Amino acid sequence: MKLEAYLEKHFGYTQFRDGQKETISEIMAGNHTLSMLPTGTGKSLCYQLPVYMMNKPAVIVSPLLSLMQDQAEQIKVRGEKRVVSFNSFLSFEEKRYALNNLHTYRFIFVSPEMLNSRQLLAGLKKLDIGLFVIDEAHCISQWGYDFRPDYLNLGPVRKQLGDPLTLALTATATPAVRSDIIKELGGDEFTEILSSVDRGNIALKAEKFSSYEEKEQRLLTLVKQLQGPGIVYFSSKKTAETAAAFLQTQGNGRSAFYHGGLEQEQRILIQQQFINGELDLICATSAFGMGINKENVRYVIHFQMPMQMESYVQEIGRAGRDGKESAAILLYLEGDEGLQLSFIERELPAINQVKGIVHYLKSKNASSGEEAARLLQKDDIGALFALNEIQLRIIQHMLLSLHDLQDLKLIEAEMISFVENRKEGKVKKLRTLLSWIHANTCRRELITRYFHQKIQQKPEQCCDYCGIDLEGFYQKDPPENPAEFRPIFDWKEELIEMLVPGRNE
Amino acid sequence: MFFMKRVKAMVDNFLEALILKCLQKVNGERSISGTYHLLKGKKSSQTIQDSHLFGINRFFGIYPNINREELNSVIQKFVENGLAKKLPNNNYAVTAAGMKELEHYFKKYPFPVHVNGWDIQNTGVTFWKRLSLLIQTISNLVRKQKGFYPIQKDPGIQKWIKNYISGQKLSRQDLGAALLKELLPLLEEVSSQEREIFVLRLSSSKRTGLTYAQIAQQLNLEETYVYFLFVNVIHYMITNIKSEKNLYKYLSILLEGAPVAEKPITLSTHTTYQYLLNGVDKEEVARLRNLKVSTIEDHIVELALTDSHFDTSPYLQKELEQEIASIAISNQTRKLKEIKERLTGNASYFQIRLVLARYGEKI
Ligand SMILES: Nc1ncnc2c1ncn2[C@@H]1O[C@H](COP(=O)(O)OP(=O)(O)O)[C@@H](O)[C@H]1O
Ligand SMILES: [Zn+2]
Repeated sequence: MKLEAYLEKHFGYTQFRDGQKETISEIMAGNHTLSMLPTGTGKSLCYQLPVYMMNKPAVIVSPLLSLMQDQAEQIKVRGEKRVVSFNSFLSFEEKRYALNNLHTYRFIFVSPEMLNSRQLLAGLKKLDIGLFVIDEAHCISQWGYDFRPDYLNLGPVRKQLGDPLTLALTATATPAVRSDIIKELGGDEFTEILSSVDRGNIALKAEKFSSYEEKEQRLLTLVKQLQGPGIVYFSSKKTAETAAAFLQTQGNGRSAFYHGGLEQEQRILIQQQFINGELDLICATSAFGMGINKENVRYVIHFQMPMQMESYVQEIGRAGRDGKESAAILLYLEGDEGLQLSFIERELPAINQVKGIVHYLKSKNASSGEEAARLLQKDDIGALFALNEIQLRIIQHMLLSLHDLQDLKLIEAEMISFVENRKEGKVKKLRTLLSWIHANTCRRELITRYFHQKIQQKPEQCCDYCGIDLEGFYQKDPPENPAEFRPIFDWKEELIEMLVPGRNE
Repeated sequence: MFFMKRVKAMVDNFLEALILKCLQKVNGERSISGTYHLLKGKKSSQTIQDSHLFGINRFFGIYPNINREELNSVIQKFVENGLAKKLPNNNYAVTAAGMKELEHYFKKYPFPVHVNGWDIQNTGVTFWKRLSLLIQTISNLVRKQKGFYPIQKDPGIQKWIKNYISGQKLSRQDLGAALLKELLPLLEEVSSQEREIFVLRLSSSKRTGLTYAQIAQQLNLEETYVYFLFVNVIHYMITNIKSEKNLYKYLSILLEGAPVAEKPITLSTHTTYQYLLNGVDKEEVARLRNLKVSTIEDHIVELALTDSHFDTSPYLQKELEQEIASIAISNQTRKLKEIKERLTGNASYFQIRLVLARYGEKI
């Protein structure tokens, strides 16, 4: 049978999207594969189809709980029942049940920290794993934009599982990050399938402003004119909130804000409303978008610049997944990078925090890196040295990689240089993005060059340098009654309609 | 213009009023951390004891989404506005102006009476998760809509609802009708605002539920107040369902096996309890467990709080107990030092705390 026939049989699609067929062919030929496919093109199909073709289970490592659940849910919605997710949500009984029945599942999702469980590992070892999948594989690289120390464990785990056929998936990774991924996974040979980071149906534009008010007015005008649905990205929660409130008072009723500070259920509601078309506009931080499948996002505006090109490409990539023309507009006010710089500072432990911790470990006579890392956990050092969660994770990771703690002076120096290196790397990336904003050449070319790729074909609506016509993205028909959020509400009628439809009539 | 200027109100929202109320109750005897842990619902001896001691166990775990920075900045604002002041011991007390503001605020926005964090605890959350998913599911099933995205992501909850529905003998239609029949009278008993909030929060096959912020906007209320009114409805429902299970056949199942329905004690306290039951005295327990005596005493106070049958006589003679209780009640004080000074005889702080644990509600 041809691959297409399998595709039709199991998914009902008639055609592969860019990169899917190539990836699946490599997998079916037994080659470890690293695939870089833009978000939304259907990365998950690249492991789902082989599972059916091989009739062997896949173990899928996913960095974010929400992401994992969304994927598991999507598979279930399709009608596949043999799916399990190992994460902290699982109760003791459920875990035991799932462990005892491990062989019955086709799709086994695991969070990276769950892979520390000996039981789970032992169970997995007994399986004939068809495919070991690492989602968001860039998280394994310290230079990736979303480094997760937990992911560093994947190399050893993979070895313990007997080097199963592996598929590493990511949406955006520079060549340096890609080679880091392969190295961390154990250095086997990987075939790389790289589809272009370029999204031809997204027009690119950067606009510069000299005052905050001006930028804000521009945002207002844009969201009034542009055809939705749209996403506006902000770099701080507070700004996302106030902007949403502001836009609402200005007549953009169907908008809401979204950020990581919201309670989980509130976040889900906003996501769902947006997906269902009950909202036209989301004011969000970068927390919004991962794992959200919405095809018809027509524009993405950055009210503040992100930290690096990878994040930018990820975020604008949420527009136009249906292949239709969409716009990505970045609004830049001189000095905007300052906010990102302060984030970089805050994300990494400060030198004196590092010194304090080393001093503390000395006083506790920690003898190995492992013991030191454990001490950190147990003594609640995070609070003591005012470390945030990422900082704590970074320090723990640094400690775990140490074998003995004889020479604390040396360790201190190592830790400090680690921090400084990382900071330097991040600042450099920020500067690169900044120069992209100021650039006087084709923006599309610059983006592809950043990922060491070449542009295939410039679309008509390319970028502000090549010339675009924003009016093409304006609303055709003015929205009906934009100020009205919901019609009059009768709680009783509504409840009856939910539970016993038709009884109202 | 994003940063709309507002006239600075004294207390900006209901959550702030609640925080101020906590400060007032604690009366400078504990640090801000105490209030933080209380609202978060931390299950530590200290937090549990204090919540009883200061008569604020209704607020236990009532706002788990609170974060420290937010709390600190609220307190900072109180100080700037003269509602609270910093004490020499670095704790905070409510000023006269703060008291007035509190009175004024709660007159305008009465505290939702059914809220009872300590009695209901996590049951509230579990109940809502199950109920909202159940209603969403039925709403889709009766319309024969199959694939939908469950509004509750917790796989445990999802599985539970699946079992619930498949375990019912009723048809889906009849199950919907039965739930409706149980829900309506409960909702008729709460205020019109509250029932609107409740229904707006629900998701169905036709629409996604609204967030607190969206409801606040639609009903012209303040967001955190919407939250507390919502909690009020949920706690009201649970209290009623529990007390009249036969009236709420289908809703009461939603309470079954909900985690920590009974009052929890910490694991460490439980271990101490086992020793005490075996007749080991507290100093010996401390030695055996390699803990401080004061820690064991904390455990004992916690036991006295959570278990009204816990025997305190080994630590406290009847006369002393009565004297302490009467001083506390007649002077309306929970201040250990003050009580100690007023005593004719001698008592340890541990003994006083033990009495306060017993008589907490009455003071
Ligand atoms: N070949 C295809 N043809 C049509 N739709 C597809 C195809 N492959 C994937 N999809 C759909 O595209 C959407 C995005 O897929 P997903 O795997 O979640 O994307 P990603 O993980 O790359 O962000 C899904 O709804 C999926 O069903
Ligand atoms: Zn161009």
